[in-house]
Amino acid sequence: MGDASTTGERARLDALHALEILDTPADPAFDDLVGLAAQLCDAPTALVSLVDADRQWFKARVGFPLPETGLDRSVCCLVVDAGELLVIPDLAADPRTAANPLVTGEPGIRFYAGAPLIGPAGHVLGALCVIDGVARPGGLDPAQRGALASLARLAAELIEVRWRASAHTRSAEASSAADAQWHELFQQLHEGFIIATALRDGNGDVFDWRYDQVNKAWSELVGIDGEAVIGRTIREILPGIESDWIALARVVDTRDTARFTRQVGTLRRWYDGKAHAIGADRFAIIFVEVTERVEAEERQRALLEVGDVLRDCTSVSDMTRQAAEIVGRALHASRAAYGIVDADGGLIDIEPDWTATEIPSIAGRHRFDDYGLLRGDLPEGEPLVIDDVDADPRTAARAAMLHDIAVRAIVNMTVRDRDRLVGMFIVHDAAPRRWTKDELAFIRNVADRLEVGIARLRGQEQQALLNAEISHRLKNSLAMVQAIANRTLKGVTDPDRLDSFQGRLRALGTAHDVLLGRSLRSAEIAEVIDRAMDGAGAAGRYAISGPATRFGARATLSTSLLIHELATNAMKYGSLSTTGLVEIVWHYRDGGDGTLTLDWIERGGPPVVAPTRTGFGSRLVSLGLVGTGGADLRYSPEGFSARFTATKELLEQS
Amino acid sequence: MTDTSPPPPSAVVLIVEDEPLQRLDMLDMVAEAGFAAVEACDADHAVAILEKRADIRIVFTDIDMPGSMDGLRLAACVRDRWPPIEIIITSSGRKPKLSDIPARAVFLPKPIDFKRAIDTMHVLFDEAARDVR
Repeated sequence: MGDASTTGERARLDALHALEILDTPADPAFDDLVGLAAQLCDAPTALVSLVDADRQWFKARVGFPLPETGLDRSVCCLVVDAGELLVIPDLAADPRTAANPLVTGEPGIRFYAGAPLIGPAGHVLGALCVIDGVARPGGLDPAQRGALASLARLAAELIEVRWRASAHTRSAEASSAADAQWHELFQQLHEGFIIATALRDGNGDVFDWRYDQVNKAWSELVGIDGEAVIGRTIREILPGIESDWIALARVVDTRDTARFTRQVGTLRRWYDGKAHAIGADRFAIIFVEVTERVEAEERQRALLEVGDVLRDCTSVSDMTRQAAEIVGRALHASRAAYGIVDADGGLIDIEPDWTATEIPSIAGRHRFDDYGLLRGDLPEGEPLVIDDVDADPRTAARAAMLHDIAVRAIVNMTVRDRDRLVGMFIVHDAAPRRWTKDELAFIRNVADRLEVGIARLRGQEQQALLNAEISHRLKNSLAMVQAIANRTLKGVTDPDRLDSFQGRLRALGTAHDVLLGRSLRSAEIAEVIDRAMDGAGAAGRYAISGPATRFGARATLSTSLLIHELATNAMKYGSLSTTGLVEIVWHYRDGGDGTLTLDWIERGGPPVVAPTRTGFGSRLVSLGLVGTGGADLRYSPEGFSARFTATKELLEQS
Repeated sequence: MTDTSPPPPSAVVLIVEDEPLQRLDMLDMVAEAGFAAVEACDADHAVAILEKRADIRIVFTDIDMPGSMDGLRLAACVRDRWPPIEIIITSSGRKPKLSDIPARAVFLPKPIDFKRAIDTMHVLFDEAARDVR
């Protein structure tokens, strides 16, 4: 805002004062204007601000506590200087406003958009502005900018009209000019707009409401001719309307703004908007249609759910059944199912399907040809889409068959496994339905995910088979090694040594069993120990404890041999040779440096002495958990004990 | 541990194993344990022997073998046609489900723990002998 001493600023202030609007009482017309501005711009605060010499005074305000402020707090004065629409996405980041006490202190305003109020002589009197407590990097969209500018022109017009009315008695001409402009603006809104009157029962409670005015956008968004509804009530126009829509009229009692995002079930359309009171029992509703957005969100959620299902399911039928339910609900379809197509594509076995209430299941075997040309373009992998089976040439002749199973609209989406058609994802509606591109893309997306999920399960099955085969061959080789060793060494070597050789061979075999149960790459330490102890014949004579820890293939094999060796020694010379026990405890060293410590503690056995001779067995033990050492053996009087350490990194190596 | 007194000469074990080296090794083991051993290289061969001889008490068979039957089918067939004969099944593959092996049959994984195998044969023979009595 300019300096009051300049000529221009003096003329502007004279023009403002001449309009005799400052410090006049509240005026419902201006109140409606700021209410509308706040709604259109989706802002909590809107003001008609007139910039005086030392203050800004608000002719109308919503969402702002003060009737006026000093100019040090004014942002509208910037609009006066600029003379055009001003949008400041973040007041705290803008050097012109960063120090403004309304920005730095209470109420902490952050976003501002103001359109100039231009007086009859061309002076900028102030601004119609909207304010938000959060920054809006995107500012206003083009429609909102246009609306704010239009409303500002209307406000300026109103100021002039009111001045004429008060100065020269009521000027009917001017008044109707403003009304005409108001009407035009109202009709041009892209948003649906309703002015309505709440209807009360004998107790004074609102039970219905009447349409007084609706704009063109209303007719388009609701699909009903606007002329026909004036003077009639919502219950008459939309029979079966949800009671929440009737309840919107309660804003005339609460005087609040009621926001809604809600479906009109009978129209299957979603609306998002606001209702606010504008007079005794009158209120206005402004809204947009959000059906596409809401349904897109629903589909988005459904895709996430499908993702979860596909990740968690361990069988194809489980996968397809759950996916069918999610898709059926998201599309508000009457049935969704997955069917397995036979090799030549003539038959389909439909798995347990999802159906809406009162829709029969079609699970079981079907022949495509019974229902018309439903196979359509299947071999090419194209989906079959039919909006109405009665009208579609592919199905019209067999429509009765389809009616019998409550089918009027169909989507059959192919599911392939390595380029071979294996199944079909089916969505039905009991009523004719125009399948939208987005809906088809959604079904395609689910079918694609199913393909991936099915391929993953098949891959796992094959991997398991392969693992079993590898392990089988490996253990067969070990059996051969055992036979050869027996043939070669029997009679030549000490039978005890042959026994320990065979024991070690078996310990290797069981280690492979443990690995097989997993991925062939890692195994759980407790299982490794249990198998080795059982294999050595020490089942039930030991206790183990320690955190869950995965061993790589290498550590699994060497630890199996180690435990086998310790167990056979304990059975020959240590605690297991009498009635003693073994305790096996492991933990990660404190401080999380990734070193695992495993203690083998024998108790209750005969006194032990360190062996004088070191054979292959003691060499094996000294190699430790991963074959690289880290073994500390103690032959104390109460029993043998050993501590083994290895880094996590080595243990997890495969 | 079971009684390891020498079993009577009537205790004949039929070894069914297609791999000759392993079969040889198993025959040795059976002999060492004091039983008489008879060998078959596959299931059909084993059935032919069983049809001729009445003195076999235990059939000790591998699972994976060529021929019209694998070891599991052979075991089922033995239980069906010669119910008193005891059965030991071995394999380097996965342990079969309990429902896939006949009642009373015992499974031992490969490489075979010979001590356990010998103990098992003694237990089964004692049971067979008790049944006969």
